[in-house]
Amino acid sequence: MIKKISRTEAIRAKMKREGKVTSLDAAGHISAITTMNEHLETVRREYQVKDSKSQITASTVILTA
Amino acid sequence: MNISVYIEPILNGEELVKKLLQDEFGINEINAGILFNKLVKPHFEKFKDNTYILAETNYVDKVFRDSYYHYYSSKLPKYKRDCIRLSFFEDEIIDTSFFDHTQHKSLQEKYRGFIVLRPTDPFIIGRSIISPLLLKTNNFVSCASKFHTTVYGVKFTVNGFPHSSQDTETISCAETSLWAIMEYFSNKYSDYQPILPSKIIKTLNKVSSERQVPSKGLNIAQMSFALKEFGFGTRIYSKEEYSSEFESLFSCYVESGIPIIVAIDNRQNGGNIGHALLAIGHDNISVHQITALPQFTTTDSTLTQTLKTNNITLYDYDNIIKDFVFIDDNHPSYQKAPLAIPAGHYGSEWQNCDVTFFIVPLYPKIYLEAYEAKNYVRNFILNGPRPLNNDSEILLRFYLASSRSFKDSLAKNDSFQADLKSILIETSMPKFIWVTEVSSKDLMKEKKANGIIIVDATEANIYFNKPLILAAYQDKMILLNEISGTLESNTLDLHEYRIFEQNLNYFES
Repeated sequence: MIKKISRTEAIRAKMKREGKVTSLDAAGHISAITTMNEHLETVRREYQVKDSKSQITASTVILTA
Repeated sequence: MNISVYIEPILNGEELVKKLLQDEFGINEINAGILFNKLVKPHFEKFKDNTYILAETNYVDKVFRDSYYHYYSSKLPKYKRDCIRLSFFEDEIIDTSFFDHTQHKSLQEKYRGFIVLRPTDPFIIGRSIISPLLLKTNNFVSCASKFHTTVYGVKFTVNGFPHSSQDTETISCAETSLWAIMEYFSNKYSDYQPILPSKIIKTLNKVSSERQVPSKGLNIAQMSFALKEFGFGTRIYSKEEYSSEFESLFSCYVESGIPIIVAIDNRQNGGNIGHALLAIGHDNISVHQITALPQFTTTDSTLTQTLKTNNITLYDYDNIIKDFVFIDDNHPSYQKAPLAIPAGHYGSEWQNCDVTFFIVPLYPKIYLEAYEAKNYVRNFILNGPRPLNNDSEILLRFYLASSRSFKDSLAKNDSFQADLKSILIETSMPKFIWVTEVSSKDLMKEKKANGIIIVDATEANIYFNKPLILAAYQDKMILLNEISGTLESNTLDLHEYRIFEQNLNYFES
């Protein structure tokens, strides 16, 4: 008989049976994820400015020594 | 045309090299002495005292031959085509061992690499690969690859990083850095091809409004363009733009085992130097350096507020003050210097050089780069749906890893929690992942951590925790439930484990 040796499904099923699993879909979790998204969006805009300015100035620095 | 072969201890290195420069390159005795003292001696001085040299003449060096046929042969003066190769062994060798196959294993154990001398007086130091094991001081970790070579007819391998000095006509510091990067990556990964100077020139002809030889150097955008053409997803970081994050990003990529091109410059300080070199590693981190690691601070007001409100102390491993290991074409391989004084190994004229840019040759499908990856992880653990406990004191170590190397190290790591090990090894991952080890100062002093966060380096969409593959810290494991499409948190005690150190090579002997 062919034996499946991977264990992930069994480990996760056992955790669920033992009541160790919480779905992160409560209002508090959703709110945290939404706030995190907004903050990541702000940081991404800052990053894009840094990135484009880095590219622009890169063409002005010649390395010869 | 015969190959002349010599074996001498490094004690007689000066006499040997001067004789070879005179006999093979036709350099007069006085100039041979000057060249030895100025260019060859600094290399020899770094080697262990029990080094033996095996010299071979009429060596066909692929890099110099390319420069010769594309440039030097078109000049009026007659340049020689052949080079001299100096091979190095740690401990005494004798000629008869090379013709006795029972001695070959012993010779391989002693073999420590080579330096090519090319007939481009006064820039005679050509291609080299030196094992850090040959150095008197090698208390560092660095990128290295195993190169195949032959000495006196016998095949050997050496583990090191490619180096060459510039000849100033076909290759300046910029072209040399590109060559060394490609030599390293092509030798290590089949995705890349080695390049020669003429290929760099040909590639940049497309974007140059002037001739390329004699070389007048390259600007950073040209170097980045060339790397992109050679198959990388290149990124450029400017110190002026990234300011407080610049050094931490630099360190993060070095910790990831990616050699990066570094631009140093003193023109903003009234000088006229602009130079390219490679950062390939850093010194071994001591307990004292971890103790002295300052608390993480950021200009991000949201993160700062969370840290304060929840009384969380955060440390970033990348902020450890340390020396980096550089490949600099004006100096022997493996120079060490702090980022604040990158030209510390130069004379006074260079001392006011600062690092102004660095270029990272990323695998093209790494869409999530370090700045956003680190920012995402910090936000996740501080403001995500399962944030760190209040009053936590946490040290984070970030790095990029290939999922193959990571899983291989994980499989061998017997200190890692068994269930989590199975889950991680059985989780589908992209070719590259961002790994964050969650630790503390005390644990890191023992090279241990007690949490881990794995992020998908191919996922540039950072919203709704899309890049998260798995996070496990403070008795919880967070991962995606593929059926419901939502994150779930599992109670799991991930005890202490040995940190992963597969990205950089240790050499200390």
